[in-house]
Amino acid sequence: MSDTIEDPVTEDAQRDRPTDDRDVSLRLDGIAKVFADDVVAVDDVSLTIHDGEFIVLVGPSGCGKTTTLRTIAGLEQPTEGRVVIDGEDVSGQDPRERDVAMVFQNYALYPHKTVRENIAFPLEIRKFPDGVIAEHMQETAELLGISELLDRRPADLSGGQQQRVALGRAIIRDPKLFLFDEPLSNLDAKLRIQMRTELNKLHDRVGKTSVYVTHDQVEAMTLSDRVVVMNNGAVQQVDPPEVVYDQPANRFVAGFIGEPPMNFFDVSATTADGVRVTGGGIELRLPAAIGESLSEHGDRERLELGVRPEAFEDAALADESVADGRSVDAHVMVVEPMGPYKDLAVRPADREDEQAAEFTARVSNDTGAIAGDTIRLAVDTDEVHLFDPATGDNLLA
Amino acid sequence: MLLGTPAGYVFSRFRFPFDNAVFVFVLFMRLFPPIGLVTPYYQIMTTFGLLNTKIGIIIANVYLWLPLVIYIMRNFFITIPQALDEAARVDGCTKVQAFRHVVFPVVLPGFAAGTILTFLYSWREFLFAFTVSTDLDSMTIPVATFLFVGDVSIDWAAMAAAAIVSVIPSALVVIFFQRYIVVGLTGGLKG
Repeated sequence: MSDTIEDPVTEDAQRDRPTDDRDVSLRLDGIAKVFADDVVAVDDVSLTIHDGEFIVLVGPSGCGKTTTLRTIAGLEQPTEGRVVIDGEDVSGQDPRERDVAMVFQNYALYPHKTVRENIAFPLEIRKFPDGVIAEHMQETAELLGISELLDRRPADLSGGQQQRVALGRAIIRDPKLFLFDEPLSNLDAKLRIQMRTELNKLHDRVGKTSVYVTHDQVEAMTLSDRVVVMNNGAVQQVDPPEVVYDQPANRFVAGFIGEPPMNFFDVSATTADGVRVTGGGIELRLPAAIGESLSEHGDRERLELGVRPEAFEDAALADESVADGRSVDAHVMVVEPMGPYKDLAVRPADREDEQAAEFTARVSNDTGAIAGDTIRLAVDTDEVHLFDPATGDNLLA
Repeated sequence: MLLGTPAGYVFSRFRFPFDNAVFVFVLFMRLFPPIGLVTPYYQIMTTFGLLNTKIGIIIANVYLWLPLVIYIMRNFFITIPQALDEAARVDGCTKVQAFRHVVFPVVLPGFAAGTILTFLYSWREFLFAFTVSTDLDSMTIPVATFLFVGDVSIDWAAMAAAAIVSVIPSALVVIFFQRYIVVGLTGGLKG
């Protein structure tokens, strides 16, 4: 994550290294946005986005991701900080001067214009000659497969078709930057998956730098080259999807990315005989490597242990017997068959009566566990995470 | 309409200090009983030499109906998603162009409704027109109808005839633009 959040670069330094900047498509320097009623929507966000990258901003509602996007578009002026597009500081500029295209959540198609007029509008307002517009129009319509719809009005189109028209209006201009504000959230589930794939293909073909805002972590994981996880107006982590999943920077990212979410246990650690963590009804012995990275942060007694549901398995299905320090005896409350696997809502065997102790385990579909059973769950101790209970920082990353 | 439409847009979209207070103030001006304003209005028109002119009557009608127009238009603009203006601005419009090319065409039915209502109200306005104009050149039809009330007798037949004739334009407008009037009075675009 370190290479993506840069120190603010002064203008002098920027002039000294023009070659570095050429590759950078968009840079945010310490963007902050405070609304009139002292609500801090975005707090010191810095990001460097390279040419052709697909960046997804993801986070819960109200985390500042949309405000960040609107700041890039110029629809909001940041209270502090700079927006630099292709090496040019555009902070004070109007949206139209920035040469960015934006796709809105509700598509924002012009209802009084036909599809053709909608798509052509960005070129018409820039006074392109008719011949050029017609040529671009044909290319765009073919690319999106909407050639037959050009003379209809937005109200006569389905959600997916409207979505395509909105994309067309963005693509036809060949802008420096594509901005997407939750473009798929108004579509039904099936269409959303289909459009997601199409967006992916489209980005491969058009290859433009894109910034995409969503609250859906699946979209974030599947579309992005790098994911920017935000919470409370601040960037939590900027990394490729695999890294965000495997090495979350802190407890927030760990809990936000992954479905079902990661389980957390308050544990105390003893390092006398390897790292042993106890708490929340479970007791695990962790690999030596974890002990080493833990001691770099200074030994501490209280920790927060994070275990993804996927790190569990029904011990009865394991080839060899599972050692004590790598398993949890658990009482099964609910079994949710998901097809290829089953999600179990379980409580540690000795905490059967405590709802707070409940956690989720995702086990192979072959498990014979049914609600009411007490089973042994194997834990892949290489895949656990330890967090600082006070700061939330990942102590192993 | 020329003043009220932009004003309604501003009240629906932009935040400025005391914006709601200003909006309520605009509506409040209309709550003041017009009869109480007739005398000062007459004096103002005398001062500016606008008695017996069409301008004088027009100014009075603007005062009377502008708050209504602002109110109607503001409600229409509120029904239009803000993303539409924003999309236009990202697509390359200035704020004024976004209004002209995108927002205004979408709100056109509302604009038509406002125009028709204003016409109907102004057409039958009596009090101010009666106060300001006494000659036939500037007189509005309702005032002219009142001329049939003589000092000694009232020519009921002629007056009734004039009244019926004066109703014709309004009636035609209502017949042809019924849909818009309903839309305007209910304050939203439907269907």
